[in-house]
Amino acid sequence: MKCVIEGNGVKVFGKAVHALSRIGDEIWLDPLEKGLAVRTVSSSQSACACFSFTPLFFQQYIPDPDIQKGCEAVKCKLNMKCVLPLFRCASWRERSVDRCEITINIPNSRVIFQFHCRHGTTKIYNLGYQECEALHAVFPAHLCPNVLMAQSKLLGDIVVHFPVSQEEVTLCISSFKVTLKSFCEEENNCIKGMNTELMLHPDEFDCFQVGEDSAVTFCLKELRGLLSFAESYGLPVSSQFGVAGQPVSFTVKDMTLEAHVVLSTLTDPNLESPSQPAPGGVDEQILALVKHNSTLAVRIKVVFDLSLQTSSFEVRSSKAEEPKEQMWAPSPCQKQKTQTALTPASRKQPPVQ
Amino acid sequence: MPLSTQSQADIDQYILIASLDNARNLSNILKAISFRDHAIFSATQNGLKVTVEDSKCLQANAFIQADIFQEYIIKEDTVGFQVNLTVLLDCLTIFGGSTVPGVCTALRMCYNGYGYPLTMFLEEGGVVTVCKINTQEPEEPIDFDFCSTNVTNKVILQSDSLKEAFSELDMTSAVLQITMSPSHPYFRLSTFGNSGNAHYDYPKDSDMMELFQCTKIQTNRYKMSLLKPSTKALALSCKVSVRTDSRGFLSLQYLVRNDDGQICFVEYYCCPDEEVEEE
Repeated sequence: MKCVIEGNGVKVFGKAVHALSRIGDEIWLDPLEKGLAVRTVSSSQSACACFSFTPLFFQQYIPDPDIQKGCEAVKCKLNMKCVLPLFRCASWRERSVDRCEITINIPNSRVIFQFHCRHGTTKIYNLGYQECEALHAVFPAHLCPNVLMAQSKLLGDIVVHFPVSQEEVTLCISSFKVTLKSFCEEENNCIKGMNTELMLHPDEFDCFQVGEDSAVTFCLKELRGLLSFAESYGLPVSSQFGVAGQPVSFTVKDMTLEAHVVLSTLTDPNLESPSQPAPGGVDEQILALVKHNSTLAVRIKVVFDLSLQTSSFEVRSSKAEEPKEQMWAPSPCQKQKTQTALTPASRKQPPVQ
Repeated sequence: MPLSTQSQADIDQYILIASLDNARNLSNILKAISFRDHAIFSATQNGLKVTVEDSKCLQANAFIQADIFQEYIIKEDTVGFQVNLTVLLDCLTIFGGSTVPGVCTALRMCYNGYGYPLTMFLEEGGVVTVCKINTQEPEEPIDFDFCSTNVTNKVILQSDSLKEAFSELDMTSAVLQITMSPSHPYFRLSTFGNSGNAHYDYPKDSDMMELFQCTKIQTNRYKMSLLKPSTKALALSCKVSVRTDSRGFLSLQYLVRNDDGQICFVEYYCCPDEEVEEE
């Protein structure tokens, strides 16, 4: 693969790499006939992002120079830590970089980034890569009942109210309003920290389509990269989602590029069957317990007895006294699938004392 | 004029007196070579030369000509001593960094001779500090035997272009490789780090290239840890000359303008890391 990016495009590409670096530690380069796809996935596999650059974006785009020899275009994976510094210091780079050439050199297993700068200076970086399979997030966006589209400036103004440390937020949609609020795993934290809730009228959106009232909880941190990219270029952001447990997708489109971020959401314990298959018997047990107590906001305490290698579960009602011991936090991967979320009915309850 | 309280008798005993209205004109340039604790001072009629060395492979020299000083009196042909450079710099900046324009520290540096401490009188805003730093027997600086006749390749660049490259150098690389050639790539800096190779090329017809004299292709590697301190001198300078000789020894000469626009020089000599076959 060989491509050449002119002047301002280098800055755009750099910002795209920055946005991807907020999600994953590795960057996939996938040269396709329809353009270059640059992807990443988070370490917990709960978020996947892809920037697709059409051939229009490049001054020159050759996905596979050896197509006559019957070789397939190679897909490669690079360490984000190696690629990100090349596109750092955007402010002076935009002044000094005239052109950037990216080449995948198969015989030497190297991706070559060549920056042609002012005054004739050239910077050449030969980075080692790992050959890999293409990375895809299977997400049928057209099947999503809910679609929102808003200007990036609006979204930027909204997320600025959430502290940078805020991991997850809940997006609730109904036919008469949209709410975005901070999500806390444990009710203790809700009381101690600052919670933010913003309500938006459907008129504020360029596109507002509600197929099904729902509340989806996803990681805001992983989305911030895409939002700041969209804001830099004043592009609208559209979002497709369904009910809790189904992934939410955010898209930014332009003539020359398309960016998607797909995030997993927390499951809603009220569902009859979990929308995501649970790995093994443990999660099914928890869900069964939660279903039984679904009318109350519940907390699940998991106790691991390492010597016996068993685990037991204790379900407490939120109205019970606060347990003195610390709660064990499940691993980030499991959390996505098994953690409780406040049920729609209990959202209206006052915070637990 | 600072420090006129000294008597004539005091002045007579000193074999070296150097005064500056702005001590920063000395401290800034000495910071550019302060990668080790000890420095060898060598004063002649022409001015002051300060030398710092590292592991017999690297030598840095700062030259402050006599006419930079407001007062420069030397009573012997050469005066040499060794002092702790870190302590000296702490004394020169004893009044802290002055951010008020027009206010600066004045310096009078005096030396009685062998066995005596280096005496420094520093004054700012009417407050006078006297510092006496013990001196040591000056070590003989290494003679890198780098003379103009042996120089095979020489380029002079504007510092701005190199500043960018040096600030981005891959620090996971143990060496910095410098290639100089009469044909492409002309002047190339290369690193070999954990993530891969990086090359910075400067063509001979670049705006930044003021002089380009390369007679034959030469590639030499230098330990990154040795060259890293030179970044300080590069940051202060406006022009840099890079020369290599037939043995692969490297000479970096930096042209530094001080606060008053006067010119001083800093130079670094470095031994090559290993024999590299010439391409």
